[in-house]
Amino acid sequence: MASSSPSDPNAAELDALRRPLRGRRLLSWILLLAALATLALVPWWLSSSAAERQADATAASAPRMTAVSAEEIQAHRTAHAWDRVWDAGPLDAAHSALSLDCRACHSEPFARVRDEDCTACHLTVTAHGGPSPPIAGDPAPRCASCHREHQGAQGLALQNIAQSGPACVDCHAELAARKPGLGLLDVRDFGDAHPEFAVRVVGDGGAWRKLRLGTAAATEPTGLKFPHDAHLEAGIDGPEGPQTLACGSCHRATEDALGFEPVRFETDCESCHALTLETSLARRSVPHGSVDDALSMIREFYSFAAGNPDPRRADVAPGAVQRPGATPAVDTRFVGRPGDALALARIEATDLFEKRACVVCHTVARVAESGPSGSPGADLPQYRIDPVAPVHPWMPGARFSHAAHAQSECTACHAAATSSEASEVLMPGIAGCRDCHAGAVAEPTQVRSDCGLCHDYHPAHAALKEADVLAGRLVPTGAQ
Amino acid sequence: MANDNILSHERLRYFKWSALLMAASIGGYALDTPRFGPGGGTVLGYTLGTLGALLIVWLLLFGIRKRQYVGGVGTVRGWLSAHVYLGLSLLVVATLHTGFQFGWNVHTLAYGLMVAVIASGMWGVAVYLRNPGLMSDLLDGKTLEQHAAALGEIDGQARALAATISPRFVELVEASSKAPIGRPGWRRLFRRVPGCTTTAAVESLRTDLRASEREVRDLFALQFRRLQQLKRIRAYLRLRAWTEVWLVVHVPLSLALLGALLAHILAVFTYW
Repeated sequence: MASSSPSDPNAAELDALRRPLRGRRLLSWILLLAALATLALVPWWLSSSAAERQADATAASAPRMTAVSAEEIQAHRTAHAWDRVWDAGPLDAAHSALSLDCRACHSEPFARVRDEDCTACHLTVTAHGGPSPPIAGDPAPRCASCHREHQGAQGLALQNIAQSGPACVDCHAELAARKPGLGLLDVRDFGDAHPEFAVRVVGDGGAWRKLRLGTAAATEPTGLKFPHDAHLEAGIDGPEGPQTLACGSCHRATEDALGFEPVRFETDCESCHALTLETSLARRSVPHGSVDDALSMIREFYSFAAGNPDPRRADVAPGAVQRPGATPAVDTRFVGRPGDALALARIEATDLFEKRACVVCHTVARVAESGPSGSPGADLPQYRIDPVAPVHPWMPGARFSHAAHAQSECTACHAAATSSEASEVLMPGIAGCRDCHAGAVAEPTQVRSDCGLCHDYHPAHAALKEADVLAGRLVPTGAQ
Repeated sequence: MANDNILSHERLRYFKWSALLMAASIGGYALDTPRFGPGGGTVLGYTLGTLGALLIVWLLLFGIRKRQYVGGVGTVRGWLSAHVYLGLSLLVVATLHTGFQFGWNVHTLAYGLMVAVIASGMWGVAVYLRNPGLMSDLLDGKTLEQHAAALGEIDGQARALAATISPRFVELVEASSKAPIGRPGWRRLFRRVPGCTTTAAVESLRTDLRASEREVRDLFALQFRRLQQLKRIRAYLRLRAWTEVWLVVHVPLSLALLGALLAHILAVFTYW
């Protein structure tokens, strides 16, 4: 094409005009090198030198026991946060404070984010099923196996809700065969492949027992006599006449509405089951809790009364009440039989412990030994009251919000109205839940229910631990 | 094959490969249900990413292959056909690799550069399909040199004719014969050629006081023919420049893409 005879005067000009447009090669080199420099080499160099500085600074310090602080992030991050050009997407809102410091999580180049990078801040997270349980298809599950960052401001929150089901089933679908020692049954879906609920109760010798509902009577010794049915009858005797109790009369939800405050004598029983001396002395009651405190109180009271010149006067007789203008209530032992304080105290103690008060709810046994020496009540009859078992979650592996179910009657799930023994564990089975809850696939009239709706991956174990601490089976570290 | 072009090359052989690749990518993407949603970090994401990176490297190699006038695998024409179709399929492969996650970062920059390179490539394909026909029409079966030589012939006749009229006309003809054929460098893309002495000569002869004289009229006709010839050559050269200017976008952007791609891969595995 470019051939031309030397005689042609236009040849040189034509050649020039047919030469490729200038700048292509130069521009190519400039853009290639600029891209490599600004996007690869500079961020790499800045981040690795910042990493070296950080390593030097932290080499001397002791192993950390606290979470990474904002000052540390600020001090050690890559200059100009230039490595942010590598940012794969916005962090979850909970992690947005780390946005300027890639190495807060990506501590080691060319290695995937390590669990230690997470636990540098998340100090109390407990491993699920022990460290690194084998999950199908993922021989070494990491925090990031389930928690994938850079998915937007709600990324992790959404994952925790929506991604929990399939990940759980990966392992739990055939866990019974693979890990028979765990005693867990297989789960595939809440709707049709979830075992009947089990409750964890205290068995013989104080060890935990797992009772599958429906297979045996779910009972647990409480040390109490408490018939729910009798208390839920309409028009039972109250301090001010007939009254009808509701569940909430005694059971108060915790602030998170996940569980209930323990029932306490003072707030939940005493208004009806008052521990008053000689029924008419309504302002004079023995303390609840310690046998010796109660006996001492009785002994002291009668000693005082014996020395009082006019015990008939209500204002002198401590605790005696009467309606204004009414005849003083004289029909009591205290008034009717002034005399030996010790004898009166013995009669009252026997009456209170064995007939009228303690024995109503507790198993009370008279014991031969004398009381603690030096105690005012030591010369009264002595009693042993069976301990009341501390409350604990019956289903510690599940999370149930009573607030979310407030539109239902309590008795729709808990058969309290027909329960006559305190030892009956009134936890409902799975069938009742399935009236409203479908599995992972939503049904038209039902609530879609992934594993994460009721189960937590980490806190389930934290809850177990918490319960063990409460029950005294575990002494928390640092408390010894 | 007379009507064979870079698109229909070898009975659409590379179109078929490309369609297969795109269908496989789309099918894989449609069937894939990654736990954390689609993205570059899933198994399919890594697969498509590797495939895309290999495609980009192979597409860049075309820049080397087209310079090998002897030897080399296949024909340059075959390579170009494959370059076009596989380059287009890259759009699908890389888009699915992203999982439609975009942001202000090196990853999306690399993607954006790739889209720009492919878009400029489409421009190039359009230009390659359209312009050679127009250029060949302009040359009308002759070479550019022959067209340039025609200018010389016209100048010879004009000189002889001008000499018979007046020295003033000789000067005019001499000046006209030195008219630039085109403007150098990037200015050849534009139609305007300022300082074209042939245009000036035509204008001058048309309005000359002696324009009614036969010799002057003949001289005007010669200069007019010269201008027509010049315009044809200029139109050809302008078209030629426009036929290659897209490469000044395509090639540097593709090297910028190479840089961004390397940075993307480095970034992904540095902060894994």
